Amino acid sequence: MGFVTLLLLLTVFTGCRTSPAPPAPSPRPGSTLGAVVVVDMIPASLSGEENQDSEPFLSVHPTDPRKMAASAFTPNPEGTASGFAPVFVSEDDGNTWSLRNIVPSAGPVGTGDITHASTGGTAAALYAGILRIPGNLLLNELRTLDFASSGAMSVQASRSQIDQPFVQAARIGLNDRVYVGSNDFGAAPRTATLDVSLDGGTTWKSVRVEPRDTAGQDGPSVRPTVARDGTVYAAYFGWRSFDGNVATSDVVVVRDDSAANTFQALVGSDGLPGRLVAQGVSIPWSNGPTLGQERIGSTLSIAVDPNNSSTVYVAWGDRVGTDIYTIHVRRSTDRGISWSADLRVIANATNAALAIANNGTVGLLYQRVDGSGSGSRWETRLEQTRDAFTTTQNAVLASVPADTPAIQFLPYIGDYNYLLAVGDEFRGVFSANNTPDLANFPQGVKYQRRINATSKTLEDASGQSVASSIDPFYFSIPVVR
Amino acid sequence: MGSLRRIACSALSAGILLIPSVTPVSGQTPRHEWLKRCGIVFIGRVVKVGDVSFADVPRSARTVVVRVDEVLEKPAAVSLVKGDKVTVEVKEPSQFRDGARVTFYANGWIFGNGLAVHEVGHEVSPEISPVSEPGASSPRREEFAQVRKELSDAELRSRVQKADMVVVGRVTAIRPQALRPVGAQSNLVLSEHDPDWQEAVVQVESGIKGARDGQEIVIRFPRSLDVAWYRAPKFSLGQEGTFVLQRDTLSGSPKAMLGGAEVDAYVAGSRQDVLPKNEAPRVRALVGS
Repeated sequence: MGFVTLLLLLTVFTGCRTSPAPPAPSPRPGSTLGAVVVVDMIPASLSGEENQDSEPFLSVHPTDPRKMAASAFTPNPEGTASGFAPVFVSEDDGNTWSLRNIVPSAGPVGTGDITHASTGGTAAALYAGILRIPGNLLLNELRTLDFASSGAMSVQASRSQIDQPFVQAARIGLNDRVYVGSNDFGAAPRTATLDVSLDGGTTWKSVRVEPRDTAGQDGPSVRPTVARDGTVYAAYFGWRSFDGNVATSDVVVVRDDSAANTFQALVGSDGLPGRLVAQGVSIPWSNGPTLGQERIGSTLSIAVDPNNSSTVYVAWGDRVGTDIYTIHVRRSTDRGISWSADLRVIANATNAALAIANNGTVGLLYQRVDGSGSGSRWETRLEQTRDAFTTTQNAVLASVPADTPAIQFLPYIGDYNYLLAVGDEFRGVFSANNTPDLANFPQGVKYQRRINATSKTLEDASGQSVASSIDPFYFSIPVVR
Repeated sequence: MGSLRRIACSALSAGILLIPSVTPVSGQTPRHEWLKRCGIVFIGRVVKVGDVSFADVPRSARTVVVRVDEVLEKPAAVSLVKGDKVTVEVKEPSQFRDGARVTFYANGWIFGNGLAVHEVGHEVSPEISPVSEPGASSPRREEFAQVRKELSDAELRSRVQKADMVVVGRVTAIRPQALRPVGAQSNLVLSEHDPDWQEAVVQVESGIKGARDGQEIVIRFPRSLDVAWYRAPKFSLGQEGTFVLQRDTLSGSPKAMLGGAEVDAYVAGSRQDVLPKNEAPRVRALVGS
């Protein structure tokens, strides 16, 4: 794309410059993980499937956490004719999953993007933001009052020229508050946007959170997070210039305290809303297989301590030196006013997802390519820390070949995955090569679909071999104390 | 999820030969209509009315557990074999009794440890069925194939009728989109969903609709492997085929440059719109019908 490039005007510096990488954290002594659950989410009745079920997402019923909804680039098993795409539903803490076609979209693998959040309620309310197919970057903001039913989700709002809708929701008082981060090209050149509804999706307001000059647009990822006291933060990439291959970007955090939804509670040293967590980072934009067959260009996550909204963490991906893609993690303990230097740096990694548990333990999920060429592997890892990554407790959830199966489309495993804190568990989803080789899953794994553990192959109902593909995996892991 | 093609089961028994004929409606049987609207067809025996076959399915008076005898059609990804128990949410439960042998035309409802489906239609079968020779051709199999062919022809006829242009031709050049989008889509957008529009210049060998023999045309297509575009038709240099085309309303630029002049640009909306060259006689016949 021929892109308008603007010079970055560094009038004021409010964030922390990229600093030398911190030392790798020490393994946390004296504690061990309890039971870890990893489940291949493809149900037995779809044992013949060979789709690339990438970019998973997860919602948990807040008061009945046995109930969960999940999604991926998973097709309606019967094709697109019905006009509906599936979600995965579990009603037994993630031990089993089934598909129900409730999302109004007719893409070959469901939607063009999908994220969601549950607020529970009398049944199992679920809010979703999708890019509907067919459509031209067509955002649909959806709701169902019970995701476990088979009733179609209803469209609450819709508009075109939107990228990467990212949904968060919470019941505050008697009302569901819904926040949908997106890159709204209709607002160019300041495209970072939050759609906000304080009444369960009945009415919506689009808040343009980017006040600074951009390179013509911001980066795709706009990520909100909601604390129990109603404080809302959002992180986005403020693209300041773009040379066709690399965006020079600020990592910006905005905050709203009072449901006024101006997101102007944080002000930078330049007097404009938003604090710069990092300034002038180089983000490679590669919309082709680049890192273990995956594309790169917009990895971003933010999480607020649910019980102390002054503490907030941000993780993002950029390029440092000769690395392909590097994840950084930083923290603020004063409501986003000041930010640490890098607390954690992970080379050749993507899909960072942060969550903070009730006891303050921070979880960091990411996927990293280990090695190169035919021996390279996608490693999915969850790190937990109680001391800002000075020490961590690590669990490798999967270590699978990175060069097989061959890519069907992009994203290969996802432009994001997801992590949630649920009581004394971290729960999350990731996508990976589904070869039933137990050595690939150091914490163990449960398959619902039919496998032959001896030959380490997938099988259909008649016992015929099924090719390996990318499947979504659910996991639960105890929060360290 | 692999191929979503409907597959005909290899073991159609002669039992289904005895399924009573259904009443023609407007020249077509209800079976035709059901087949248009369903993805799963199987013969089974009702085990229990008002029950379910696995835990995820909500039990009701309309749920019926059926043990599968024969699978006639299903998506490739779906696991369904003889002996499986399926939950069918039927339209009228009073039409079913335990032990009845029924052919169900259905769509998926819940895909879990088992399969639950919604009834589209059904035919009650006789109790006694002769056994067919393995591999024997069955009139029912032929009927299904005929129905599928009719549906395929009807879909293609509809696409051809809606098409702005249908040609048999050969791709002589591939190039990036020459004209930028105009109007509402003129803002440059950098998204992972960028289609990366390309243009295939096609020499028309035979114009079937809206084109002359020997004419050059421009077909625009997305090169992107992104999830939103990877299933869209891609064109390559030297490719020959029968192309069913619409004027381009997708890329934001309805015109293309050809020989220094602006011409209409076209797109092929789906893979079904890019047919082998030898499908041209079939397409011509449908245009004439």
